[in-house]
Amino acid sequence: MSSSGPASSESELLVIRDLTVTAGSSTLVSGVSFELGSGQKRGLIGESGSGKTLTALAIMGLLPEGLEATGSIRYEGRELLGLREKHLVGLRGNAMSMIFQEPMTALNPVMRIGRQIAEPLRIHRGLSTSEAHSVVVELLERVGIDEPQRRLKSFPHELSGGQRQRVMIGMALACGPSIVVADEPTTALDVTVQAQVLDLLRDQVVANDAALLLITHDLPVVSNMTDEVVVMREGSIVETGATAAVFSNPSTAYARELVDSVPPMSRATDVAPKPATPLPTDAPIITLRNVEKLFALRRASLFDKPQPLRAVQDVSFDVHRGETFGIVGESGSGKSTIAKMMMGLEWATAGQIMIDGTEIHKEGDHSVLHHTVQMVFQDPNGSLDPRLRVGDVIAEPLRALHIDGDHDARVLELLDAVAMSADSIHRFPHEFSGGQRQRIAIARALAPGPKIIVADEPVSALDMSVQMVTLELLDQLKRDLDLTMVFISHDLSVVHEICERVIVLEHGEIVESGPVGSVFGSPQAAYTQMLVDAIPRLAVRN
Amino acid sequence: MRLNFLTGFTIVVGVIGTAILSFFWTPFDPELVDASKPRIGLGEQGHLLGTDQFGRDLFSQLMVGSRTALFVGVLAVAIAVLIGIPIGGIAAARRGWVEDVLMRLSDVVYAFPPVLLAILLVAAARPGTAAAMVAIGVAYVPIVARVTRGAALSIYQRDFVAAARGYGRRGPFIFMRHVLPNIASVLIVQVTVLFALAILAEAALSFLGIGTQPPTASWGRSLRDAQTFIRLSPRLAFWPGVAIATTVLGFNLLGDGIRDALDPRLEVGR
Repeated sequence: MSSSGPASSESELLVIRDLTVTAGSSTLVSGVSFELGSGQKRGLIGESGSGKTLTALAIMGLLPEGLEATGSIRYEGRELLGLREKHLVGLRGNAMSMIFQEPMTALNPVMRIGRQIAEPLRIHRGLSTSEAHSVVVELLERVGIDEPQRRLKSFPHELSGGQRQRVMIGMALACGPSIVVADEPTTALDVTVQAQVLDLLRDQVVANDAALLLITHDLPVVSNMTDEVVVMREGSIVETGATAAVFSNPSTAYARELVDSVPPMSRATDVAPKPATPLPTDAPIITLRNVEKLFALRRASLFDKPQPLRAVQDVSFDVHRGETFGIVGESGSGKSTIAKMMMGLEWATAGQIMIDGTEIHKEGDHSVLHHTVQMVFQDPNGSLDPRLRVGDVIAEPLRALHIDGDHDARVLELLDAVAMSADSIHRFPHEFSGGQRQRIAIARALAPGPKIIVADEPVSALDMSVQMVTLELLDQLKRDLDLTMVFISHDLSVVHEICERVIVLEHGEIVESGPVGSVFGSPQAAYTQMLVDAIPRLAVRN
Repeated sequence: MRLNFLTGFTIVVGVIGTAILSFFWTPFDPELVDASKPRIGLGEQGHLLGTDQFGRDLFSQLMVGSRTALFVGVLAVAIAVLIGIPIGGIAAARRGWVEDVLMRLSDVVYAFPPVLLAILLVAAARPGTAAAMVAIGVAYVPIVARVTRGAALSIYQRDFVAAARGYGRRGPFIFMRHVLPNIASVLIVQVTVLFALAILAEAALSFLGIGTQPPTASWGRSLRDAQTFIRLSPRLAFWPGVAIATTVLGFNLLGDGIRDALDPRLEVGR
């Protein structure tokens, strides 16, 4: 088979030479070349828009319509570019398989997972339904799904996010592929689940003697999972080399910038213990006392009793003026619900919430509350109205709260504060990058001159280097404007960076609270310990 | 496809142009009865499409009939939109029992076919274009309400709505400023399709004799009048049928074209 391939790459499983992906006149990936040896584990890193996913899709022959790939992709010496679809089908899921970022959308929601995993076996191995059945059970066992016999009959929505990704891994490995392409396989998962799924992926790839191409923006993950790494930026390769070498001693400025953007807590070296700031003695600006929030779930059928969902229970804490207060927890821990209650977007079903000396109630005038507390949301795509120009986005709170003064001048002042140019006011949100959009959202939150900013995962949707810049901006603004900040995140290393005190939430309850240094440095609760252990650390060779 | 849009657009502009023109000029007086030349053929004596059994010029009748079709379409859709959008919007904004009540009520209306609703209405009032129009409009309220609710629900989940509430904006303002502009594309497509359906429904009602009454020209009524002579002069039924089919097709193609033009998935990804 390898007779048609160039002599130099005969030992390589996959050889990519000068891969270029174009959409009409614009070039999205240009001149990408790298190899993947049999059993090799290679990372492909870069920020959004760097072309890493397009490279993966080109390898799989799955580029969206309208995009064209040129150059050469050889699998075992056989050219894949320009190969007819029917030949590609024979390779996909068989010799090469792919794991996608979001297992909920990558799995067919109306197909039981047993049949779904069996599909590649039936197509490529020609197994009958009953033959496939026993193989599927064994596969599910291998990827750590409990009670595989029963789970076969589950639909994807009946599994948790981590279980779904396990199923995806099982499916990808079903036919014993020689190459597994994993595109951000754990980005959509909670940190503790991420650690388990990554372990599983690594073990399974090794057990199958497959090669792994791992695409991610997460440097610590890549450093733990791969031997070789390719760094991409704006469609081109910036740097390649052994993972440990690239991360410990990057030769390009861009790779250096990426490595530097990893927060200290995610580095292998021990973090210098963060000194605890003395607790202020003044009256707290935010006080929560025994706060509880029940949601009435929709009843499953007309005759069922509606089941209440306890999103938050018995939560009490104080935040002092000028503090950056962290709230940490995984998805479903109730942290966003607490944020919304402080904003007056949800109402506590029991307990008391005091903001700046005033208790907030569902009834009554909330204009003082709106003047006092403003929020920055996670996804800047979703938090800016796509139909409003940036000038209007920022001026809206001024108009809504009837704030006196020259609104145009105030908008320009706010844009300047978040380091955006004045001509942004005439443009629409989609014309900006994710980081810029988040700065627009911050400007909007600052517009009414609030005393408190509630930031709900404000950097989770951003690239790592942009995360850093945005966090620095938030911190700077907090000090300049004498703000109090409640910072909500699932990312412990980010919270460690910017917060002074923190509470850890699990299933709506506080399991631990205190100064960041001591909570993360010597966790008392088992759950906190688990969260701290699950943080992917950047492995660097000295 | 661009072709859809262009074809639909051309047809719709043509129908609107014809309707406007018919106010100022028609080849013959469409209501002029001339017993001396009943059912004469195509092109004879200057009658482009011939005459009907009363000797009226068929082409002029069809020209004037386009006015009725458009008039009914515009007003029926206006009724559906003006009632349906607030219902769907309130249901999406309030959720809970308000949503249940509003949507179940609109299900009840939805269960009545427009024609049945029109017969009920005509029984209560008088047959005529107005009754047909109101009946069609009311029958389409649930469709608009459902589409509005569905699209608005997803917008209400977005953080920019939460942000607007966070700086003190209230229900109706949020709906008008943030929700409606973001669901407008879905509604525009729905409206063009309803427009086509309304024209069809008016023709059906007039065909049954409970829509537009003589002497006002209507495509459906021309069709009904031609029924008696279907064996003697099939063309009397053919041409109104062509007018109805072409116009409905035109609005459907226009709707498809607009949907394609507004569908973000058709944009080439970066």
